[in-house]
Amino acid sequence: MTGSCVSKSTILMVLLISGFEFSSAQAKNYRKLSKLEATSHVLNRMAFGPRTDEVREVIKMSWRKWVEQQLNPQTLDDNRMQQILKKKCPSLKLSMTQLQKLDRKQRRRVKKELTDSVLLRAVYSKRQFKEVMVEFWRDHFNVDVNKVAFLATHYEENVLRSHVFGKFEDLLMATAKHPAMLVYLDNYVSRNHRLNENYARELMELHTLGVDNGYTQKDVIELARVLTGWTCGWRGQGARREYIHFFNARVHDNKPATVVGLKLNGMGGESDGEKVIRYFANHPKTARFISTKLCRFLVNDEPSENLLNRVTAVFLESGGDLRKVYRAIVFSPEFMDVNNYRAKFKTPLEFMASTLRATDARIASTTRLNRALNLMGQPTYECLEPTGYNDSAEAWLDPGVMIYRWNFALDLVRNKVKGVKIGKKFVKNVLESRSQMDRTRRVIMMVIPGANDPFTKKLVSRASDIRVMVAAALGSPSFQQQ
Amino acid sequence: MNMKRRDFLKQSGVLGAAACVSSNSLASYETATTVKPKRKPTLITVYLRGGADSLGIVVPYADRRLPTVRPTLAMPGPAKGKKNVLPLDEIFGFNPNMKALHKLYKQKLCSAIVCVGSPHTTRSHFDAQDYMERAAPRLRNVRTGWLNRYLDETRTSREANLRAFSLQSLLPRSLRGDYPVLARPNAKADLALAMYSQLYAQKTRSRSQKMGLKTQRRIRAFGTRTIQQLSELNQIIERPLKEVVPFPKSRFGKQLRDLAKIVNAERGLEVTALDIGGWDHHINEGPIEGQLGKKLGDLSESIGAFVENVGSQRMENVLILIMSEFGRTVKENGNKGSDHGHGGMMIAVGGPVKGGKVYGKWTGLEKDKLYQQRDLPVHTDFRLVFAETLKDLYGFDGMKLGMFPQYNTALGPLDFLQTM
Repeated sequence: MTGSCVSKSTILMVLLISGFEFSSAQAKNYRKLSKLEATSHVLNRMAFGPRTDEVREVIKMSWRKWVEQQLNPQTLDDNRMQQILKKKCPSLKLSMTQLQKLDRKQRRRVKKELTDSVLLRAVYSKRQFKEVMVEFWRDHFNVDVNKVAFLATHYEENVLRSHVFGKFEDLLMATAKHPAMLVYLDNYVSRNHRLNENYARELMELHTLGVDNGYTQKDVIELARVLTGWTCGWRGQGARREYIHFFNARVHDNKPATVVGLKLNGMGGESDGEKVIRYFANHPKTARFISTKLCRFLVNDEPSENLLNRVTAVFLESGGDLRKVYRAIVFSPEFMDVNNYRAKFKTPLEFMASTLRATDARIASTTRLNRALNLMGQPTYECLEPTGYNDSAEAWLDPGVMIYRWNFALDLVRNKVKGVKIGKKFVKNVLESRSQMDRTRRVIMMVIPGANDPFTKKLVSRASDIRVMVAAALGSPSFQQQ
Repeated sequence: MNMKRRDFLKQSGVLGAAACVSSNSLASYETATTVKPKRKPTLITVYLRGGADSLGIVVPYADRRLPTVRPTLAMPGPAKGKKNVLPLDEIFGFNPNMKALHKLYKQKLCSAIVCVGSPHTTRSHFDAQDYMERAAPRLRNVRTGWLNRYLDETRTSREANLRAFSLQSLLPRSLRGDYPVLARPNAKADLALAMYSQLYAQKTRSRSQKMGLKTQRRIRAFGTRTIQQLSELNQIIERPLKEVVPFPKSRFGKQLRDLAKIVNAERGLEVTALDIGGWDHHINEGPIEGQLGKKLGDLSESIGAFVENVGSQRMENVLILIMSEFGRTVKENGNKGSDHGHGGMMIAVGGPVKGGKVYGKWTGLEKDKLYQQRDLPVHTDFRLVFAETLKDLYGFDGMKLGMFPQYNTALGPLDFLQTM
């Protein structure tokens, strides 16, 4: 105890005071979310909004149980979704070789089916959290269907969807080897003495480390050299002929290379590239970058240092086990913090999907829906920027956008969205009400449960026509929040 | 069931009365939100997307190498004739289709800048446009447009409703950022405006810093902004204009006609941006009678009509700045076109311009003077043009305030504008 300048009693005093202050500060601001709010929160963040009546169901089950189910989607039966996809988007199941053999008309159909599948899944799938996270990775590992065409279909099914609950390293490797990514970022033409740096740069800048986060232009060139020969095309003979990724040793640069400190002697061929990719996948900077993006996506646009540190630690300790990382985020106190409740702004896809879910909509044709999504600025798989669609309010909250959302809400309630109809369950629920007050309560409960905006409530209650009530709720500020 | 728009409005009883977008309610918008605008200058940027061929627009007719490098794309030197270059000085001339702009040049209301562009050498349309509109070449973490940064830095609590907007449904990147700018939707909006104006107009006394309520306030503010701006914009545009000089019937012509109405209505417009696509002429460029010629004719006539319809007095306060992401190769390619280049051109029109002159350094078309022996070099950084524009028009020292990140090369003044 010699040398300590501060006596024990002083330490105790300091602790007592700060503890006191802390708890009283906590008491002032601390309010737990109510059951309704907590349920509405998970359905907005971990799903594309609640379906008609879903809030009641999940309250009964308890939101924790629902979250557990969603973290293990394989336990949820999604038969109905499979039936819908089988009927409307059969091309999703095709192999790369089969897709390659299609004619122009069929390929146009394939593009449409891919776009449709994303929206249909967001609206109808029971495995909602899976769809939410696939959307995240679809943007993080962005490809543009206008450049890669049918390759995107195979990419969606076999890269994004199969690794979303696996390990980040496997997801990353799968993207690096898929023709869609090889074509999108031009690596398939990169060869010794004629390097194309595009993929090497984006691999570090967008997919793993983050912008200017520990790599230089020299590293970009070195990495591009290591990845020469990573290409795709037709391989095999006769019946075994198929369109796949392969490593072309003839165009590979096999001189030594050093990428962000990792030394390679150049003789490893394809395995050198795999080594670098695994190195980045498990790099602490990557863990931090990915964790930050995930927290922004799920918690709020500016997550706390504390949360980021903990989630990064989980990422590193689990070897990039994504399910464990998601779990760490959604069961964190920050996720359920009243301060993060309804703090985010819905992207156009989230707005449209949640509108269709809340109104129990029947979708016979997606054409008008895709057109509306396009007007709102988020056409599926058509993001020009390799950064993918951004998730923050900054990216979407601008004055023009609101008009398209309002128009959509108005068209939907007046039955003017061709091929889309508000569902019977929704209509029945509203019509069953016995008074204007009850009707208001039902509309609010089905469209914006847990919302705390007195103005929207007032206006909805004063509307004489049900259609107006619903349109008011769908276009309200509350409904744009999640 | 189908409801007629009128009936729907009627049914929305509580929303109907207060929310009809009649001239009365617009008056209430005006008194509540529009300040008597001081005569701040107006900046209109026109972005030619695709890398417009500067050599086909500001033609160095006197350069002896021109016929060699442009065998099919060359234009006859200045003389009386439809196909002849319109002379600007002893070296340069405008493309023959730019008669209206040439007239403005002679009236000292127009000037050109040559060999201007980005220090970054990307030849990707997307990247080059992106860097230019954000005025941050190669800095990916700068997400805001340069015009938006200006608007944000100079925002005040009482601003003109129509201080900034874009007359196209997709907001150009130069206007994207923290400052809310309306991109006029190309969809009918009256029903939506009527329906939601009351819902969004509510002012809340809550000062809660809870993110949820903060977000709600923000959404409400944007929604209100949308309604106010769009209502006022539509009201002005729907009024007919007595055309002093007719506007071309093209999309750009129509946009400039609408813009002329707004400038004439004197609502304090400060910044707006327009795009014209389709300047990526790899094949059959057609500088005289083909693609490029036609586009330049439309550009020139539309701007000419705009200047006439706005009138000389108001034009003293209006600057139109035309730009593109890069110029094209000096040598034409095998398809009677040209490929992506480096240095390009800009054109400035309006009262603030020290017109009748070609600005920028010119080092000729000899191979050793070209960038990578194939493109025009960049002797003037586009950020210098942007910086001078903001300084001379608005007295805003962008360089000092770090508006143009990582740019601090004092490349000598261009001095192409009068200080307003």
